[in-house]
Parts: sequence; structure tokens; C-alpha cells
Amino acid sequence: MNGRRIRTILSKEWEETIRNRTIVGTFLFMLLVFMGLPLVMAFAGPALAGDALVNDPDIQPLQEVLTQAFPEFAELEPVQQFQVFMLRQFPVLFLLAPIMGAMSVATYSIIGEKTTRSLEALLATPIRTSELLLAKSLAAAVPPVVATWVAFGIWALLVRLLGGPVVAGYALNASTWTMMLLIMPLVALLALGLSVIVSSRANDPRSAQQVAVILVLPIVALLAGQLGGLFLLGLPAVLTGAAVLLVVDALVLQAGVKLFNREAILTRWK
Amino acid sequence: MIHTERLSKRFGEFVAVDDLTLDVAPGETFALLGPNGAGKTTTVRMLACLIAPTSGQATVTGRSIRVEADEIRGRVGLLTEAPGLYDRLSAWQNLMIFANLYGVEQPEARVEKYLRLVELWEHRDQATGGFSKGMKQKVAIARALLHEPELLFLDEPTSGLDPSAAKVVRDFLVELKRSGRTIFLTTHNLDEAERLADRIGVLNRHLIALDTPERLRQRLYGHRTLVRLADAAPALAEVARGVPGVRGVTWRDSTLAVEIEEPERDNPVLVAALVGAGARVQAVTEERASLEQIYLQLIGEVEG
Repeated sequence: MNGRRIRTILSKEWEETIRNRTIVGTFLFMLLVFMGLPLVMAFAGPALAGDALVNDPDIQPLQEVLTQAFPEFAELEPVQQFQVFMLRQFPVLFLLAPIMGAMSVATYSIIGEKTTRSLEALLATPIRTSELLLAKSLAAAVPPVVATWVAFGIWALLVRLLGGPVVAGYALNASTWTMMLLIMPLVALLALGLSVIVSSRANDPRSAQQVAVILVLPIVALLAGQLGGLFLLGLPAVLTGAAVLLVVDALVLQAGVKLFNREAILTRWK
Repeated sequence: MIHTERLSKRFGEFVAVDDLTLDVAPGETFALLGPNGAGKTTTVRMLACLIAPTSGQATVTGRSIRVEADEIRGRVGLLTEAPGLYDRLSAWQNLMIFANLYGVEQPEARVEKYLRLVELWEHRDQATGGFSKGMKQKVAIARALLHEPELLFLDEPTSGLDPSAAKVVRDFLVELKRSGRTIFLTTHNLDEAERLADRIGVLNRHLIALDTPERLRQRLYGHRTLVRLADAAPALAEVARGVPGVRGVTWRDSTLAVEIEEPERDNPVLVAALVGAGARVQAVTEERASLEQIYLQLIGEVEG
């Protein structure tokens, strides 16, 4: 591995990404929505709707799921129970950001090089395909993951400020942090691996990104399941999910690496 | 500089290049001609170590393409058929990327040198997406030269350029040739091949012909002298046929087209014989077959 070559590709990718306002703008907007939506629902909702929302008969059974998991939850005031319930549902949304971010950057990066036919000149240099793939992967995955961590950090701070220590303590527990620190990067890696595979066949980044549905749907299902009171994502479930993701990541990345070699790129990629 | 021995490349059942054996000497400019799908780009890609041959051997800059691919890639330059620039980045940024990938020491100075050489220094900070095709091709040429390679592969260097842009690029390639660099060129442009190449190879999956343009011309067409006469008397053809060294005679209006063995030896005798027979000779010229005629005949023989 040659550090200079990897740094060169990394900085090239970032220079190009920064100049792509569609990718950067969409990603930042998405993060703002994911940060704002739960805060508005948890804190502005009760303030505007009052007891009617907190005591809504449809929400009561859902809150019982939390009470079963955490008996002390019953001791909270109704409004705090509502806030904790809302705040615990939405961190799952933060998993969508690195998927969309990593896939956008990776597909634009690989398909972009295919359509502008710049890959051949790049592959004619002494760079190894492993160096190229590593640099492109880092360039696609690191900014969305770091940006999502930063956004989640700010969001956690706002939860602490607006909800106080008790609400923040329930809303930001071990499973939430594990999901953000472990599951989120693994999901980003999975998005990357799928991007490489899809990019080898697609000629349009937007059509390649449709494969994101494969990853987005399970996350939306998680959100819907929690909101519907079907289950509560606890630490064991998060850790099991991480283990499964690790295996799937390894398989998908292996397939991606196999596709990403000079000869395949130049002769078989369409 | 390049030595290939029975080099072949197949993609499944499809034979792209078959049994290619050739040598290119240091400092030589070699042009590979052939129709679309003849295997020119595949040959360049194999020699530039982008794809592996299915069978056969080749050494480039004295190194095996099968064993020392990374080393070879660092020592050769490749101008790809499409410029393939990063349109959002400036000419300077585009070249700096490649200077760093090739491990050039003091990359800034080298990039400046080549941007000045291709006369784009004033445009260095502009995004290449706004460049004309000719300017883009010049950036791509600078990119291929940045690491000062021993051998330069040029894959269709003027393809898709308008005539004036093509001329700018071609003139630059003439300068490159004068600098003594080894150049391996693929082209559809026969005039370009004739102007630039010391030797020409005609490829149609396998190598059909390999020689200097002059020798190819001689081999296929021999030497032909055209004698324009004031009066087209049929008897004069018989006089010409009687001259030693004459292989054939045909009439074209009032001009005798005479195939001869050696122009320097046979032309004076031919003219003297015709004048002696009463012919009033108005002009004597040598007919040279164009490279296009040679190429079409070679390809026609194979396909026909």
C-alpha cells in the first residue's frame, strides 16, 4: 500500500464531492430533518397540543412497551413518558444518512469515472486496484459517517438540554449509542459494497442509488415496528444486528473487491 | 523497447488479438493501423499492463508484462482514446493528481513544465469541463508525459477532434517524435500514421503487414512511372514493353503507366527508347500509392 497514492485519490474524491452541490446539499438537508423531526415531535408537540397528545389513547399502549422493558419508566410524568417514547424511536433514522451519503458519493465516484472515461487513465498509473478501492471507499464512507456522528452528537446535546437528564437518560441509553457507534458504520460499509457491485453494471448514478431501497426498507421497518409497539430495540437486539451485519458486510465487500480489478473494469463493466 | 511473441487475447470465444509478434526499437515511432474491432486498443491495453494476455509473451521497457506490470505502468505513458479528465477540477489539479500517482518528485515544477509545453499554463486554474476538445486532449497528452516515460502509447490521439484541433495535436506529436521518445501509436488516420511513423503494422486481429510505409508501398504496388505523351500511339506501348526492367504497361488516356523494377536505373532507358521511337514526351512522373490504397488493399485481401 502506497500512502501517497491513497492520499492523492482521497483528496481528489473529496475535491470533486465538495464541488457536487447536489450530493452535499441533499445529505446535509437529510441530516437536518433527522435531527429536527424527533425534537419537534417530542418537545414542540406536547407544548402545542398539551395533554390531548400526551394522553392520546393510541399512544398509551405503545408506552406500555417501554414500561415493560423499564419498570421505573412508569414513575416518569406523562409528558416525559411521551418524550422518551418519541425520542427512542427516531435514532434509527440516523442510519439512513450514511447509507444515502456513502451510496451517493460512491456511485457518483465510480459511475462518474466510467461515464467520463477517466478510469482507464487512472488504471494506467502504478496505483494498485486495492489502493484505489480503499481510497474510494474511505472517501465515500468516512465523511457521511463522521457527519452523522457529529449530527447525532449535536442531537444528543439538544435532547439533554431540552429534555433534562431524566428524559435524556432514557432516550440515549446503551442500545442507542451502540447503534450509532457500531451499526451505523457497518451499514455505511454495506452501502459501499453494494455501490461497487451496482456501479459495475449501471451507467447512471441515480439508477444505481435505487438499490439503496434494499437497505432503507429494513430500517423503515424497524422504525415502523417500534412505532407500532411490536418491539423495542434493546441492547441484545442491536448487538445481534451488528454481528449479522458484520458477516453480510464481509460477503458483500468480498464480492465488490472481486469485481474491482483492472481487467474487469476495462472489459466487463458496462 | 517492445517485444511481443505470439501475444493473444481472447474474451470468451471472441479472439481480439491473435498471435501478435512484433518488435519496436528504442526511439522508434510505430503506428498500428486497423479497422474498428481489429484489436488495436486491446493490444495497447495489454502492453500498458491494463489487461493480461491470454497467451504469448511480451516485454516492455525490458520487463515482462506478466511479472512486472506495476513497474511497467510507472515507466510508460498512455494517452487514452478519450481524454478522461476530471471535469470539475482544474487543469492544474488534474495533472497534480497524476504527478502524485506516478510518484513524481517536485510535482508542482513538473506540472508547470508540461502545462507550459502544451500552452495551457494561462488556463491552469480553469475547470477542464469548460475546455475545448483540443485543449482537453492537450491536458491528456501532458498527463501521459508528466512522469517522462521511456515509452508513450497513444491510442487514437486525434480521434473526435476537429481538423484544426487535430493539427495542433499532430504538430505536437511531431515535436515529441523529434525529441527521440519511443512512441506506439494506434490510429485510423493514415496521413497521421505516414507523417509520424517510422514503421507501420496493419492489424486485423492478427498482424497482416509490418514494415516502413515505403517498403509496404513497394511490396504491394512496385514502382510505377507515368509518361505523358503528346500522341497516344499504340505502338509506343510495345516499345516500352521491350525495355529491360519493365514489368507491365497500361494506357491511361494519353499517359503510359509503366511498372518498372528500379526507377533510377530503368527510367532513363525507358524515356530514351520512347523518344527514339518518335514519342513526344510531355512529362515523366513517379506514381506513389497512398497509404490509404495500401491499407485498403491489405485489409481487403484479408476480408475479401
